[in-house]
Amino acid sequence: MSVKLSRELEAASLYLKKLAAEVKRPIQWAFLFGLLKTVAIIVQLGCIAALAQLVLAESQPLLSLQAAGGGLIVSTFFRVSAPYWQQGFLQQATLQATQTARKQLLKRWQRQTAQGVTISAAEGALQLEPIEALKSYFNRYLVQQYLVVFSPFLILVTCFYINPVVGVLLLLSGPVIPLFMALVGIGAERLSQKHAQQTHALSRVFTDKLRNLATIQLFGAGDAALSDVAAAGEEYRQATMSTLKIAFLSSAVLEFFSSVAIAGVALYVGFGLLGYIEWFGADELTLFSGLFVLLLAPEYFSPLRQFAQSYHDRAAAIGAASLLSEQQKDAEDSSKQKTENPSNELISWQNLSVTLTPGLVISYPDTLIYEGTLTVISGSSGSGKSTLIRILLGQTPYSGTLKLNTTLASGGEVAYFAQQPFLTASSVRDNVNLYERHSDAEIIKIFRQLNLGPLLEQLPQGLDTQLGEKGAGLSGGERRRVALARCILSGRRLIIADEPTENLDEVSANAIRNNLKRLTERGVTVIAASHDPKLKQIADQSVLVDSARGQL
Amino acid sequence: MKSGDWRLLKPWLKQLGSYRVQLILGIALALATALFGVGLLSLSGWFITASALYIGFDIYTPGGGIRFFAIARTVSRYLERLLNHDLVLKLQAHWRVALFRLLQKTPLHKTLTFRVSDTVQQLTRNLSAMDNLFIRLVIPALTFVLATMLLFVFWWFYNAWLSLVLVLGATGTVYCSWKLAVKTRLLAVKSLRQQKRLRDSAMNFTDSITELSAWGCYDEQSERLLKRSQKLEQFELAQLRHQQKAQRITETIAQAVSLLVLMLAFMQFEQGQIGAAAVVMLTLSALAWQELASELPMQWAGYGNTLAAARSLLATQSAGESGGALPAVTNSSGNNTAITIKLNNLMVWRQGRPIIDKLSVSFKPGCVHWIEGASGIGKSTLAEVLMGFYPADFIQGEITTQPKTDLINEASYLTQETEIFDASVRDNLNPKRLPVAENRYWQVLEQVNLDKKIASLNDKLSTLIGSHGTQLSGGQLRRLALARVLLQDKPVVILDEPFAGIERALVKNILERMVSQLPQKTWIIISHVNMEDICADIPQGQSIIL
Repeated sequence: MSVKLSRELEAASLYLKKLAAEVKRPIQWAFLFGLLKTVAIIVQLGCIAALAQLVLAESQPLLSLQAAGGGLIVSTFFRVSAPYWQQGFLQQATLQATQTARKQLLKRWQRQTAQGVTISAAEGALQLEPIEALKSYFNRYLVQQYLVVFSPFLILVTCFYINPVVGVLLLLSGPVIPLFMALVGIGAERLSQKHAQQTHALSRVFTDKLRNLATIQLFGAGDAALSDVAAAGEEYRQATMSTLKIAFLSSAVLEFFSSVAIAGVALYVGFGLLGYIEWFGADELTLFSGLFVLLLAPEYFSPLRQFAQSYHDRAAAIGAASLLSEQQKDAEDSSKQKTENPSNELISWQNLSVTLTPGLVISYPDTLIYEGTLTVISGSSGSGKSTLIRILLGQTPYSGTLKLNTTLASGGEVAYFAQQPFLTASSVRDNVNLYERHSDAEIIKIFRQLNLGPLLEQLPQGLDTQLGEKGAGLSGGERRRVALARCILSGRRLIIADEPTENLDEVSANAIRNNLKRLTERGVTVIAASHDPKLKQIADQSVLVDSARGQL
Repeated sequence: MKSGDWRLLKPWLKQLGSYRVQLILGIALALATALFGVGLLSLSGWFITASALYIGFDIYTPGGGIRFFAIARTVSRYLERLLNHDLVLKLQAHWRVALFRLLQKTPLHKTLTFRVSDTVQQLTRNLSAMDNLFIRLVIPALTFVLATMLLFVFWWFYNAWLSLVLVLGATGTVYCSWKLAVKTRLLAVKSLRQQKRLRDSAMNFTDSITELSAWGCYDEQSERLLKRSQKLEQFELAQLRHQQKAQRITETIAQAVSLLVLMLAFMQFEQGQIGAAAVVMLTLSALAWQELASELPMQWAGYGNTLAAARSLLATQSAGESGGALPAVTNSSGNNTAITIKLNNLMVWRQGRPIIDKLSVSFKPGCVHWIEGASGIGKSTLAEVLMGFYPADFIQGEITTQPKTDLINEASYLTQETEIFDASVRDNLNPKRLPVAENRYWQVLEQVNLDKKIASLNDKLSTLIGSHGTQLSGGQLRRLALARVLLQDKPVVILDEPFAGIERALVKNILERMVSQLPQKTWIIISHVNMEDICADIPQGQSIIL
């Protein structure tokens, strides 16, 4: 378990490192402007201390101190402007990084699909929360991690120049703080990774309950669902609080040491000026030097404080990265063999089998399919028909040989008709045109062919009628036929269908069967997984996936 | 505009009232932290100056004060953060459950047309945005105002002009932050809307990856998704730019205040009105105040987002409340009751279409009633009407039962779409988690011919199924949903396309077994499948063709 966790952490940090490398240039500029701000602060505080010395201790008239006054105003200007200029570069970096992350996520989904992994709808949320969590990493942490070293260094050097004792005091307290914080921070990182998983899990619980809200209502399972939601929420609160307790503790350490250091400086300088301390240059202290180091002390710790705030950003980003990166599974070599086949042979497979889980193997009978034919894959429910469909779509790794004629091997020639077809919350027209655009006239013609004419007349806004999520507003049979219309309209030469006539009344089912047959007469190949006996009757070939063969 | 904002935020702020003690403690700690910080710096400056220039003053009190401020600041800050974050999380949890409870009251036919992705966004993202109301808006603003007031009084003792400069500076800061907040309102609404669209697209995208890949449209749809996200980034960028401008102005104001205080304090010193140590103390307290002030725009930049989140959450609330009375499902009168249902000239409208036209039929116990017809919404609508889930305004005609009862308690309904939870087989069969004997589960699984399959799984009834568990085929899931309904054991059973994805022989088998083992029930089956094709040996009642 801990090995797995550390591997995940490694993958996550590697992911972040790679992304950071892409935005190196703007981050470097942001760093330079950060340094400029520190220099401006040093000059500004020096001018204030100098003015105090000159006016209060040496009684010089205020208006005569033009150099110090001018220095004060100029440095203040740069102090205010430098962060503003810095932000421009940070935004540029963040934009670039998030777009890259999105593209990588899309590629990963594509890869996973080819490996046979099912991707749930809720995973779409990965484009939202985790990527949001990355933004503050690039916006703040990435540049802070450099500034946290160099800014205090500049101040330290200045302090040493003024008074070595204070310099040593700051030097000693400097590294100690990050050490303590790191110790605490490691724990926070682990917790934060779990926290990111928790947020995603919380979102999954909601999606699950909401998608099945009708069942919850019908079965009076509201209270059980509520308690699940409340439990998930409570887990979230506890996970968050335990992360925060530690994250805040680490910043409390920082506050403590910095406050104590400031107090230490104040007391040392004060007693030094009073003459109670005489070693190491305490007797050389003046109002200017004493005040200067007092003012510089909080600024020494300020970058550390900012870094500590953004360290939580890193923890959050690691958590997000662990969701976004993924351990590369060794992709099984399931490349389809592409053959130049002079004959009409379109697809064939031999010794085809698939391992769903260790110990669960499904084997398929050797098959040859010719162009322009209707093949029905039948078998008892759960026998592996849908899995075979996924193999043909190239979305499940298999062992054995699967040959595809080259003219069809290139993408763009397969029309897939799913068992639960995909429809969106948009107009009927947009749903038909989801993958390819067709004219209204063409759509209407095919609708009539599929016996959807009465639907057209009854829809209040015709093709513009808006559907709900999952195509709600149409009946189950209507939805299926709309999706089938998509396939037919595409004119593609291979149609792979998963239970095409399931759920339709006889008249429509007949229309489908006839249409599919008609398509084959035009040279389109149809492969359908189905247990419809009438479809089997008109098929040119029937492949039986026998559940007794597999070990189900 | 202002009153509209207040109306939106009021329920959230009111909720804070139930945690009054924690709230006041949190604010007090925040104020204490700010004051201790100012105190530490100012007192240190005073002490150093006094040490440099004064002779013979009490060194122990300031020394002790400095030490006290140093430690107290750390402690109060830590406690304050814990306390306030915990409060926010508690509020969040409360609201999450409250909203979900409201959503459950949505009428069934609306539930079936739910835009799920919208609601998911509301419940997670918007609730998190409401955190900001307390932590980033209320607390910093209150702390700033209270601290400024105290500082005002403190400075008044030295020079009224200083206090005046402070007031001007504070007013400028608050004004700037407020202008920023207003500017972000519109941008936040746009941004939230775009987020919704992006989430919609993203979840639709992942839902259909198999199809997209098969159609070779993956890259094209990816591009569309990326474009949506780019638009979102641009809205957020615009918000950030406004924020930075405001921050720059606020910084300038705060620095100007410090410089003015410095100048005025020096002038007073030159006129002999205040001591040198006081000058330094005042200047340093101004510098410390400046830190508080520059935080304000950063925090208030989130105002727009918070308001937009509150607005969309209010919309969810009203949607749930408008649902009106969803009849509560109480227990049935007993599974051995036999119920007859009579429909007389029933007419039902949906979206302006007459879905059911003058239907008269009698459903008798012990018989299977087949409802066939052209594919359309009519059959599912009939089920909704019988269950009492359909709004009465759109129904004409008579529905009577014998014995007289509420069908919602006596009828169980299998929806056309199979709904499976990410949960165990057991929890899927018994979502209400009523106490049920184990052999009852196996009994219904046997009735739908799933017993062997479930028994073969590693964890049997406890096996996790759904999108993150063991995959069952479409037909198997359908049978599981059917078993769920049978487990309810109600006198009237309405099944909408129960045999989707199941082959004929198995259908005949299940049908015969179900009806013979449960002879008292009134069976209403909606199906495209022709009854004659199944040739099941079952007692048939009046069938309807819609």
